[in-house]
Amino acid sequence: MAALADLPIPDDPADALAAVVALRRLADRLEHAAVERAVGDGWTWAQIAEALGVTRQAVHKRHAGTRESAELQEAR
Amino acid sequence: MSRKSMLHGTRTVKAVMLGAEEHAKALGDSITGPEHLLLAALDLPDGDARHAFERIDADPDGVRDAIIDAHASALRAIGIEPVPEERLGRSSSRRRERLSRTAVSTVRLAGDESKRDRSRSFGAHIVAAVAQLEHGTAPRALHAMGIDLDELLVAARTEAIKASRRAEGAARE
Repeated sequence: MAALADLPIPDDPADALAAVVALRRLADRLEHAAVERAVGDGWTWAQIAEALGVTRQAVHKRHAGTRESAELQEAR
Repeated sequence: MSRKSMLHGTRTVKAVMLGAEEHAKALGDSITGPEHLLLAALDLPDGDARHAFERIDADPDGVRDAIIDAHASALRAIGIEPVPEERLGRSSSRRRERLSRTAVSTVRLAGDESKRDRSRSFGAHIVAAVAQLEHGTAPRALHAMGIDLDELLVAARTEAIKASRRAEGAARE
């Protein structure tokens, strides 16, 4: 991954802001996929929260509705 | 306006809102934005939104890919190669997808369009509202398709008026 200083920041603010939107969207989707996999592998919400650097409540609120976690919760 | 027409309008608004949520999920977005409202408007069976695009020789079926491409181009502009869509999949969240502030403004603007021409063509009104946006994913995607937003606005308003006349004709019969 390139260092931030090496990233070509677009001169046009509209292009730079569009890049921010696309990055947020990508990060969001990677987070969902990673959490779903972690839950599938038996990670607890506390472990996932610690890995993401957020509170357990925050991670639970954001991801408790995912298909994988809901199915696991129903099975337990 | 007839009661039948009002009920149809309410059902159409609901279809667009639910359809937009589905499009947001399918595209892996956790927030529903104007681009998802636009895709939902293009799905409506009355075809008014699609006709607005066709009126200016633009392909309504190309909008979804243009939205995906807009995000991919934005990442490439900062030297990041986008992850293929199929590797990320759709959002599996069971929570209702939130509506972005711009999406709320877009729905309000569509409502203003409705008052303007007294038509219940919510699909055409959503297109007209999106055509008035200056910034964000939807206008960027439409620009990338070579669409002139002023022309799209006129086309959407024309389709809304046509739909209104059609409804009046049907009510008289």
